[in-house]
Amino acid sequence: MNPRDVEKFFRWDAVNQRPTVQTMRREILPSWLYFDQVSTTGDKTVTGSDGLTAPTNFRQPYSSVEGLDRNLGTPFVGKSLVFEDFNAGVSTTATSDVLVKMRESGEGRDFMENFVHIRTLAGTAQLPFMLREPLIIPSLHNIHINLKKLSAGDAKIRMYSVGSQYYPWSPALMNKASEGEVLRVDIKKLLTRRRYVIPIWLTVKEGEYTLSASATDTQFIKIGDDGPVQIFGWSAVSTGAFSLEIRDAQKNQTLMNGQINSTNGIGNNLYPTTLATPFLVPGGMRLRLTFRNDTAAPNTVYFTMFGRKIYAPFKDVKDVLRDTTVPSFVDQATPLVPGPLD
Amino acid sequence: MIATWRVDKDQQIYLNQVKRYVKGSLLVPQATQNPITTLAATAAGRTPSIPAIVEADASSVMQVWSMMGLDSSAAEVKERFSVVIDDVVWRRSLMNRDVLVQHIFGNAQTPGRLHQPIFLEGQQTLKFNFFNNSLAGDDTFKFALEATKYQESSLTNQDITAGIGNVRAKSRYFTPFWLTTDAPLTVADGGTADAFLTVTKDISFLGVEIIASVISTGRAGNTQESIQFTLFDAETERPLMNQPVTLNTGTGTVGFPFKLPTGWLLRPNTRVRLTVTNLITDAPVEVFFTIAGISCYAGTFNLFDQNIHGEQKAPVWHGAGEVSR
Repeated sequence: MNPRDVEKFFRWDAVNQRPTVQTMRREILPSWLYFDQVSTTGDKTVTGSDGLTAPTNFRQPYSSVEGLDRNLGTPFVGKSLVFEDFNAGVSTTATSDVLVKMRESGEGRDFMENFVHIRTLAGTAQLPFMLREPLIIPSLHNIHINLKKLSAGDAKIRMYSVGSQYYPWSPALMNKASEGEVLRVDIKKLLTRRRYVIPIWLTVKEGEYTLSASATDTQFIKIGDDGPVQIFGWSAVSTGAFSLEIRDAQKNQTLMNGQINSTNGIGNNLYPTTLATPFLVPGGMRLRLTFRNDTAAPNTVYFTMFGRKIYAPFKDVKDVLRDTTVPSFVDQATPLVPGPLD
Repeated sequence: MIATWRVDKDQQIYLNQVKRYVKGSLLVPQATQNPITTLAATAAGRTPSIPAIVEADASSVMQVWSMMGLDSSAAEVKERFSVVIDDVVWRRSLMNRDVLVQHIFGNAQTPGRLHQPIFLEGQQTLKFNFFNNSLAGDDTFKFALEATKYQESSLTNQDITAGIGNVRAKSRYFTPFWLTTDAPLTVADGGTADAFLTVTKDISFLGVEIIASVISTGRAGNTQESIQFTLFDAETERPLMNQPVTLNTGTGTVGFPFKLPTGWLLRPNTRVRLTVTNLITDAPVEVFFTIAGISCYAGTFNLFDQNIHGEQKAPVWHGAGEVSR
């Protein structure tokens, strides 16, 4: 934490001449959201070799006191994903071969089109995978999760979203009207944002991709027509070294002047590759990925791009200038869409 | 805080001479205490070391940012080696009781970072009382503190004195703090136990990260995950998790701590409940659980503390990175 950040949590009490706690900050707690207890209690056993594993879910419960929540409930804002994989008393987190697929149950929105390798999606407690767009889960909302394991032998998985839990209905805020209002406004912004922006993961094909020995091949990632995607980086898991080049398929614009190697240009879940500037890709566009197997044996690659999906149209520059008085390179908050959280 | 270069009225860049008087620095105890040897515990109890004193340079003021240590003792000794750190001038302890050394001191590559720097005036001291809680042998420990040093000659500069004034004002109230369980925690094999982490009356506490370690000789049960735990918020008893969290998914080490996604604010005279389940089925587990963060000294309300001669303006602090004119 930056030494300056502490001042968000305290205010100066002029009467007693000392800092005092901001009550509102007491009602935002650090939180771990694990699988819902109804579907999964304790470790989740994932059946080996693509066997059928019952789905599970993240579910944010509802709580309030006599309607004090003002229909906001107790939302959860996930900022990172953390997981653990072990079997027979041995940690297999570093070599886990479980695939994950997540979907918002109520809205029917997918966070990924294909299964994504867990080692490109979630990190550890010491090196969590930070979401570039928070996973905002209002009360009584579900995130449906499917897991499948590639190799033989079952795995025991724990996967958490770690973030903040909000308590707008806390009785402690009853005598702090202004602080309570600030908290409610923040929550409303988050809930509005969630309607338009969600985290997203992009992969090729069904998530895995096997290259023949020393082969070069081309795959495509298509961005859904329902909105653009902002890509913040990528990570990969593979059985051997490979090289990659990424192009905009329609305009043939490239992100690199040559191929990048899996060793020096493609990170993993603990240390993902982060783009210096996020790559905004319009809906309906395709990215062309040219893979080259740098080994003399078949190479299975799980390549994942991560970022955010934005359910909003592009506007022409002149329309933007007409609507706003001061054009800016920084996202501006509007009554409907709050500014970015980062 | 101090600009390295500036632009003059002719738009020419020039280096700021004042920057030469602010430098990185390392503070170590005096030679007789470096390394410091603490004798093994006995059946009668643990053995404290002689206090190790670290003193800021007389001709400067300093801000301590991180702590690094080297313990060359046997593993079964250093895994129980603990410390209490006192800010001597302010009569403040920086923890509620002794905390494991390996939860505070990192190494040169991954130092134990403080979330609030410790501000030391000239010749101001920090006192380190080490405790060897192990019967297995003596402990030998060396340590150093990483700091920023503002030379006396720089203190005539308005920018620096204004900035330090803000830092000084803030350090009256805010210090780094380590909150651990009120008493040592041991959980029976396969059992569950509660522990409390109490914030005393004189401080509010802002938790920033969690560091934990366990010691067990067990070989049966879930030796990989060792424990699972649930934290309950102070005052409200709200659980911070919908199901228990394991050691590997909820805690870290001093070099790679588990960073809480938002600060956990605890008021004075409140306590957090920690419920721990031992997943090892053939031996008890000793649990060392530390929440590292920042304390804010609230003091006690006293009518006579108020300035009755006129309104006293709030000190304006901007943190370590800003200068106020």
